Amino acid sequence: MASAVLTAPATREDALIQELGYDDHFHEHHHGDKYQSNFIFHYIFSQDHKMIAKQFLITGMMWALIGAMMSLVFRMQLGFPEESIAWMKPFLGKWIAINSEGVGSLTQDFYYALVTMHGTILVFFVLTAGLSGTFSNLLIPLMIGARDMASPLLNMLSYWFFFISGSVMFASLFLSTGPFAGGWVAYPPLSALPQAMDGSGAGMTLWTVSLVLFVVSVLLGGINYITTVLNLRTKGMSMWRLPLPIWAFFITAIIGLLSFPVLTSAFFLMILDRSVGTSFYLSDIYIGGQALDHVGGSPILYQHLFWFLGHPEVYIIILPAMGIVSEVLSVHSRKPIFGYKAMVFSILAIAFLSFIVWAHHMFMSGVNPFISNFFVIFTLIIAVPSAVKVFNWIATLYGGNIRFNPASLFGIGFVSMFISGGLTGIWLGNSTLDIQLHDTYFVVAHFHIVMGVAAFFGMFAGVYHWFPKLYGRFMNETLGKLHFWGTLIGAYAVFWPMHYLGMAGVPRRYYSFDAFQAFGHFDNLNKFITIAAIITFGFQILFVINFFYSIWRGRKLTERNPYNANTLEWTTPVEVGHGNWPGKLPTVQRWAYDYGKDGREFISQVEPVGENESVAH
Amino acid sequence: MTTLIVFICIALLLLIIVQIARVRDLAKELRGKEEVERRSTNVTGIWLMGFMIAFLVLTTASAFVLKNYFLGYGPHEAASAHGGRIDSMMNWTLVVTYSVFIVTHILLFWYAFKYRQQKGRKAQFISHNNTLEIVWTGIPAIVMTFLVIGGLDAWNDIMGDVGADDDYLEIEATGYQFAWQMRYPGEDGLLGRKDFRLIDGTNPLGQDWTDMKNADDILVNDVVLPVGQKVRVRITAKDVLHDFYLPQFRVKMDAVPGLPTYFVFTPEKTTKEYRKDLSKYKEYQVPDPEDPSKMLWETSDYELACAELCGIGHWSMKRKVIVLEQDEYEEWLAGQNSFYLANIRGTDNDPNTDMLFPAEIQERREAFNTSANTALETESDDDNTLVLEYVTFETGSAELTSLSRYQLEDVIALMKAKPEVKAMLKGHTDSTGNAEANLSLSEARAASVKQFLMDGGIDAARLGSAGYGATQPIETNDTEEGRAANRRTEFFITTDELPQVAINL
Repeated sequence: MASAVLTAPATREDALIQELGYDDHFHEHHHGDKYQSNFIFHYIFSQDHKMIAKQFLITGMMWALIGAMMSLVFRMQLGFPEESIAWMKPFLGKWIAINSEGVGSLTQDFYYALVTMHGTILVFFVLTAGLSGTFSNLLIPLMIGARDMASPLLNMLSYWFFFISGSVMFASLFLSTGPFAGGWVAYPPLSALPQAMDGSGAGMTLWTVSLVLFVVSVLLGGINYITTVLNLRTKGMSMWRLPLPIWAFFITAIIGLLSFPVLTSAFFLMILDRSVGTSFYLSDIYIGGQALDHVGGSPILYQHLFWFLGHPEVYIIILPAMGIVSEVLSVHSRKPIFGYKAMVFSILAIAFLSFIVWAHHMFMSGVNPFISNFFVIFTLIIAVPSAVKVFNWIATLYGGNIRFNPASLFGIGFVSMFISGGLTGIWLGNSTLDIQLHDTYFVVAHFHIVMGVAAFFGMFAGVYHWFPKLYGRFMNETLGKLHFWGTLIGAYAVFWPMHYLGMAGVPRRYYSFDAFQAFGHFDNLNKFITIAAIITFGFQILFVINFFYSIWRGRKLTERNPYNANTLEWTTPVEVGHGNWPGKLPTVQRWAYDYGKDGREFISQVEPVGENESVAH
Repeated sequence: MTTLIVFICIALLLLIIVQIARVRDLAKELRGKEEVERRSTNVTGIWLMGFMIAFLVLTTASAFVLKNYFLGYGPHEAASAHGGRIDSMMNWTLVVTYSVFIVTHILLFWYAFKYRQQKGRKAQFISHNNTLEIVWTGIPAIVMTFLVIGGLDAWNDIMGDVGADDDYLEIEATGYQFAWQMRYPGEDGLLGRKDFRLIDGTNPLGQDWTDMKNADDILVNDVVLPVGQKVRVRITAKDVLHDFYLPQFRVKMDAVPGLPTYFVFTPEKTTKEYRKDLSKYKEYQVPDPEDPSKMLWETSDYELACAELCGIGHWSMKRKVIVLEQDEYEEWLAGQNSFYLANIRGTDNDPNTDMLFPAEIQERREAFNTSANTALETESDDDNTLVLEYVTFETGSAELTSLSRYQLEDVIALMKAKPEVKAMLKGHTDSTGNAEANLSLSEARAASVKQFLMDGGIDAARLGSAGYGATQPIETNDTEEGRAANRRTEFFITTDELPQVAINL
């Protein structure tokens, strides 16, 4: 490690770091790099932020595959209810009911269990931990010029709490009464009463335990991200020079820190109601042939507490994706991100508003309709900062010299998804329209596009873009583009038609549409959606193959800064060791977006502002 | 086996794709990176444009093709008074969002195509533009203001409760796993009190039978509504959350255990008119899959569904909704029976054993008056004896049960209306027990009835009383039914002098 300082500078940036960098005498304190001394501490209980990022990413990918396969199974039920799925019996056992003619079908219990698990896994394990966990860990230290997170130990614990949380959830899949099946929002009384549904017994207990552990993971991670961004920025890295992903991760962590504890309190009250016999959420219930003792509680209290997290949660998911896309689009357009300050302010505005709109999930839940007035106003105000972001991304493309690679394509795809899904938010945020659209497939279409698919696009953009930083190799570009086109077309094919189902009034969370005349017109549409989902899933397999293949066999990264990007992560060596920079820490001289300025293609953040340079941003 | 083969085929396909991709990336290095990248950039640019055009055309066209299924279009214009406001709000929102959708997508993909990487092109250094940014912050803000104002104006109108002077019909919907139970108020127009602790096999909603408002309440499965009548649905749940959802009426509200909610709406289109509207559209001019002898429009009904996950049967909570003309509705209502009177009255679960309801009083009075008048009109005295079947006594005592007063008041009313009538009250017992005791009990009972009538203002001179013990059975004393018939109070009426009675055992 120490020898690296003595070698000749590899690049212009390296020379600048050696000349102007800040010497924290890192190499004198880290002889032999004890963190990476053996297999267990290098790969498993690693305290290195880059390794923890990989752990989050790969665990998230595994969960994404499990969650996606679950969706395919219940899509089979919705698209092809008469088709025999007896062949799944070896994998799914008693959850596949086989009738006297040998036709296998999904049991109702398992249908609802799958829907619930799909939601829980994707929202929490994939799009929160897998997305934010991966990129916050990877990029915060690298982009702000820090050696590692403020507390590597808490960072490690954050991953392992996530891992245990996932293990508990996974274990619940094997319960004889099945995993929790009352919807990912787990509204009581359905979730609180084992009599109401099989999955509300032991399945719900494990679900609650798992998510409490998950909250611990998020909080440990979040407090670390916040501290690191506030305290460990290198010399010269003022807040207004932070690259946009860092702003996004920083604000995301603050949102998480403020909202997840409320979810935990909701869960604790739930545990008390379930185990101790309190009545926080329960009142006036007659179930299973008996009137329960609970009186005086309100199921709506739970909804308030849940959505106080639940709504900020969607921004916890989408803000990191926005940050990533802002960076990727700027780098590959070879242009500054348009309206940097407006982008930051819109993140702040969205974050603030995210805390005062939660009841827009509850217009039809029995809250006083008068209260909804406020939530409609605040909800629709969010359209303004969101619109600003969209216009800024489009303006970033304008006048650029855009490289098309999987990262930038997914960035463009993200903007398209965010527009399509965001606009339907204007429908749903309007309580008048929610009377008709609430709990229909329109909602399913809306949130899958805007926070499911869009967040995935952001994640893919990030993975393709920073893969060289993670593994020192590139992912295969042809497969990446194939993956992009398959996912873009496939995701629209899956979710666009769901708007139509919703506009026809078809409710979500229906095991079958046959009971109703009004909802039974769409057999062909449902078949189409299911087929599209299967094909789109196939393209994700391509991504997974590409990912793991490229880790070991991808094209090697030969230069430090393959994209000619300005940010600090590209000033680190190709093989980044612990501590990120072998010698001095870089000092930052300018913002992150001087692309195409004064006729120069890019100007790294470590380069001092020249005397004759036109006015900085 | 087939499954295995399918999986192997998929795996092989993936392998082939991966190999081709690998070769392509390698070939790029060999064939001159720049040239390959230039071509690839152009191809991707064209794909982006192609995608944009196909996407915008397909989304627009598919919506157009399916529009007659959508609520708010074609035959699905709202069937309720407030629904029209939702439909029009939705159209405005559609116009706004669809325009933005089109414009932003064209710009996004057009810029991506136009500014694709080309040799010699230099990216422009544009970091921000305050004027532009103010414009595109301001315009969405203004548009949102209009949508918010329009939306909230409609919302507060729709969600308001009924006013004090409104003429409305209040009905109740209760969700439970997995169906709906509808309750209609009877003639009083009021729904009775209920309590979840009273729910049992005979009382599905836990109605409190001591609340007289419950006595005429009607329980039905389907929702039947008169057209043009404002309806307030009180929405309740028995076990978990449900949601009262009438898609065609734009009605939706959660049913929450412990917290009754409501929705007020006015149906404006009868089921008949709805079907007629459907019949105009080719989507509904197809045979009904359930009953191919009929067209789909002929069998289509308004429906009630559940729109809040409530357990494994959530998807099956269907009830029919039938909207009738006012007179048809009244006819239907007249054909419905009070749940209480039909299922609870007179059973062990009936707490109201010490009282009669007006309808019952009326019915008994009419029967009594008819037989009394018949008795008076006939010449022969043999038929002048009526059994006061509802006059009963506490066990082994001469004390009248509280229910006896209803018939005795009928007797008083009759005697007041016909001053010429005189009456003899005759007590009878069955044959069980001591004959002398029976005799004196029967005398005492007859006297106690006489006393009641005198207290009611009938002159003692018009009344006589006698006890007969078990001497005059009208049925066999060997069966319980027979003995019950023999324990009776007879009422002999005449306009002549009362006979003198002497009983010898």
